[in-house]
This record gives sequence, C-alpha cells and structure tokens, in this order.
Amino acid sequence: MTDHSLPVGRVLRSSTASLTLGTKTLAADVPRFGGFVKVAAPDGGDIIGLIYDVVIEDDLFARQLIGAEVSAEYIADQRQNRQVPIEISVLVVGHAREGKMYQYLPAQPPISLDEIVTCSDAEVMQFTADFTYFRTVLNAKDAPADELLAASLRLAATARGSQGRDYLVRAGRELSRLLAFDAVRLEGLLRRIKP
Amino acid sequence: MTLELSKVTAQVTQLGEQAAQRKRELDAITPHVREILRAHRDDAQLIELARRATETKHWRGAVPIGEPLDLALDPPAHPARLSIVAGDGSQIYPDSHGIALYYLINIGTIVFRHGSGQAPIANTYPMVSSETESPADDEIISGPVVNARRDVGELTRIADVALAESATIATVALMDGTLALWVQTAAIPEAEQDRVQRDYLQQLDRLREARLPIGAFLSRPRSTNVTQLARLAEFNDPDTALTSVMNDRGAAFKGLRDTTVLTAWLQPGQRSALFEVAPAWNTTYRDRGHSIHFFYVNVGMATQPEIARIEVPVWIAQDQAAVGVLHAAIVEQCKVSPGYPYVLARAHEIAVVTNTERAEFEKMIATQLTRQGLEAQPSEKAQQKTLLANRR
Repeated sequence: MTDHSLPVGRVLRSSTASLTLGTKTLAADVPRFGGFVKVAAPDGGDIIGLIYDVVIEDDLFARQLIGAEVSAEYIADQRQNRQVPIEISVLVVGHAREGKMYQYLPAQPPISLDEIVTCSDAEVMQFTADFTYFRTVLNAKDAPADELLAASLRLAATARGSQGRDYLVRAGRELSRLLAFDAVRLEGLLRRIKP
Repeated sequence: MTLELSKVTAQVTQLGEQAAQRKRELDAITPHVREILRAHRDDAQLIELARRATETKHWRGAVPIGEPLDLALDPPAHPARLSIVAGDGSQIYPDSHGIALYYLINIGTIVFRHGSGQAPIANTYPMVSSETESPADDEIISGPVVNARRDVGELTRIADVALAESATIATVALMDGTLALWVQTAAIPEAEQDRVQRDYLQQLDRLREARLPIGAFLSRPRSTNVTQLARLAEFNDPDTALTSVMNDRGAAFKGLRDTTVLTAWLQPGQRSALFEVAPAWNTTYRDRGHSIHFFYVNVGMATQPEIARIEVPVWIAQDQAAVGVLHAAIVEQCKVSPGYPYVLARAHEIAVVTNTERAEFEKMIATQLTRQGLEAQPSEKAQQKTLLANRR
C-alpha cells in the first residue's frame, strides 16, 4: 500500500491524450508499466494517466563503453553524474477536480516541466471504481492496450488488498461486455488479470 | 537561398584530388625522414646543433633531451589508485546584438579516482561579467580576450582541484589543447596580455611547487617540430644549418607532420621520445622554469592509430616517474574512449553551455533587466536572423 505520491519526472511534451516525461534515473518501483500517475492541469485539478512505455534513449557516448572493459568508476559516472535520458510515455485516461474523478479527457494538457507523481492507493481506488476508462485504453493506438489495461487492473486490485479479487471479477465482467464480439482478445485480457 | 551543392561539386572534387595528391607526395618522403631520425637516434652533435638553432629564435624545431629519436616506449603499469583531474571551459561571447552586454565563462572539472569504485566528482564554476574594454567607454570585450581568460580559468580550477586532491592521493592533471597560453595577438591589449600571462604562469608555479604531474592533451596535432629536427640533421656542417635556419622559414619536407612520421613507429599505448619545444614563444615559459616539452603517444587501436601530443613543463619532463604515470593514465583513459581521454571528454561535457541552457540563462537576464525597468530585447537584426535560421 502507498499512501503518498512519488515523483516520476517532468513533462517534456504533451497533448490532450498523452504525455511524454523525462527523468534522470530509474528508481526501484518508479516508473512502473501500467502505473497511475497525475500531473497538475492548467485549469486546476489533476490529469490522470497510465504509464505505457519507458524508453532509455540512445547515447553515443555511453554506447562506446559497452564494448570496452570498464571499471566501476566509469559505470558510476554514467549512472550518477550524467543525465541518462529516460523518456516515459503516459496515456491520459481522465482527470480529477475538487475530489471527484472524471473518466474522460481533460480540457487542456499539462505544461512543459510540470512534475508528474504517482497516484496514491486511495486515488487509484477512487479512479478505478468506475470502468469507463477501459474504452480509452482499449482504443489507444500507440500503447500496448491490452497489456496496459491488464497491468493497471492488477495494480488497482493490489491497492484494494483483500478486496482485490472481487474487483478483478467485476472488471472481468465489464470487459466481457465491452469485448463481446472479440472473444480472442477478451480471452487474452482475462488471462492477464486472472486472480 | 541556401548552399546550392550543385555549384560546389567541381570544387569538392578538386579538393579530394588535391588531398590525395598531397598524401602521395608525403608518403614518398616519410620513409626518408624516418631514416634520418633513426640514423641520428643518439646523436649528441645534433642535440647541440638543435640547442644552437633554438638560440637563434628563428627555428621551429624540437630539441631532444636525451632519449633516442626513434623511441617507442610502452606505458608503465597503471597505479592501482590514482586520481586523474581534468578540466575544460566554454564561453558565451559578448554580443552587441544580444539582450545585454555580457560574457560568460563556464569551467568544468572532474576528479576521476581510479581504483576507488566511486563515481567521479564533477563540478562547474560559472562566471558572468558585464565588464567592458575600458571604464571610459562601452567598447565590447573581444572574443580572444574571453578565450584567454577562459584558459587562465581552466588552469586555475584544475590547479585548485588537483592540489586539493593530491593532499590525500597520488594525482595527475590533464587539460585539453596546448600547455601554452596563446595571447600574442593584436586582438588582446598588451596590458591584458601581460595580466593573463602572469596569472597563467602563477598557476604553473603552484603546480611545480607541488610537483604535480600535468599534461596538456593535443588531439590530432599538426606540429612539425620533429620533422624540422630531421631537416636540421640533413646538413653536413653546423654553420650551413644555422644559416639555413636564419634564412629559410619554409616548411621542412613539404610540411610533413610529426604524426605522419610517428604513426608507423608507435604501437597502441607507446610513446615517443621527449623533446623540448624550440620556437621563440617558449621563451616566456623557459625563462620562468616551465619550458614546454612534449612527447607523442598512440592512443588509438591497432586497426586505427591515433597519435596525440602531450605537452608537459620541463620539471615534469625531467621526472621519469611523473612522465610514466601521466603516460599510463592517458593510455588507460583512452582505452574507454579511444583516441581521447574519458576524463577530458567528460570535462568538456560538464563545461559546455548548450543552446537550451543559454536560452534559459538569457531568460534570467531578461527578467532581471525588466525588473529594473530596462529593455531586454535583442537587436532587430538578431531577431530577423533568428527567424530566418529557424525556418523550416
């Protein structure tokens, strides 16, 4: 359980439907595929999104170290001193304002260099109480939609502790309704969230 | 309108042909020059002649200091623990079309503690100044003045950091480029030349006092000091040689570079003999006890040799152990980033001011000027150029 937010990175570029953030280093559990994150919206409230990709950008200077026999000092320099360019992609799935969650896109994207943080378990539970965001994820073009939705549901279940199994069963029923005409896809998704 | 490549095709073709022709000519001479150097590898009379030629202050050669001219020496074992301190600098030149009249110098240093397993310690030392050429007017400070001050800043920071580090562990210092400060130019007022030269020599004094090995790493050197020495060796009698030195300022062996001669001799990691720099500009350093010496080292690979020139002051050149540890450190550093020491590459990266950083910095200045009720706009010319440069 996490009852607080952890910093993930800062906005590099954004649109209404997705964001790209930059970060310096990878922490033990952040960023995490399928994780819920939030960033301040220009018009107040928070924009909610799901992390769907983490890319460590190519760095020609670091690349030459791969083929060389390097001692620990070189590795430590690269990891601790140099700005290893890590880009994180986030799919926007809704927003929050004045304590209420809305599972449709916000009016405006966030601004460059705004800080993005993880959602607390309470926020994850509140947001995922409604299944409307499933459609947003399932229709995502750039993200691995099924893997992303399954990962977010597993995290939502974990946040609910002992109630997690019941939550996944309810989520599975909603998916059965949404994907009634695509049995193969439905089966794949249900396997991924099977309690 | 932009660069129309079709209009330069013929000129580019000619450029390639000329380069190939020049290489053929130099390739034909190179074995001859190598033979001369081999024949005079331990020639005491040549050393004496080189000293006399140096005294003329017209000769641009190299004076051997006792090592065989065709020496190819492997590096000694690298110490298990050694700190390598490197520094580099970058600058923003004053721009009369910019939002404000200022210049910025940013020095970056890195302390690489070989054998410690620790991340190196990186630091930057930015300095902003709105100083003008003289208090009486607002004449802008020239780029060469900024360069000279940057070079003094680099050596000062390197000395500060290296001397502090050497209090606890054996340390060597590396800098990029030549060891000499180049200030003899009309673009730098004489008083400024004297001031920066004095400050620079003081830093060398500090390093000498601690006997701290310092080397200046010159990548892809174009120097011809050793081939000038070979030319001197060709003369049968000293007087004719010295007369030629006084009267003939032309390049020896069609400008054949030292590196071309040495490439075949030096295997990866090996260094050449040590020489003293003869030209008159070294007098400033010679008189102060820092006469600049140099050796070449192959910092490339077997398949791709890369000859660098390492310049050291005389008090290092005369210390075999210090030369050895510098040689070993440079070769070790170049194993990771072939052809150029890792610490110098990192020092450059640390020091460099990127376009993004410059834009952010100028925003800071603009904010401050606006708070003071001043205009903070680049000139119309600069704005138009920016618009044109950013066109898609």
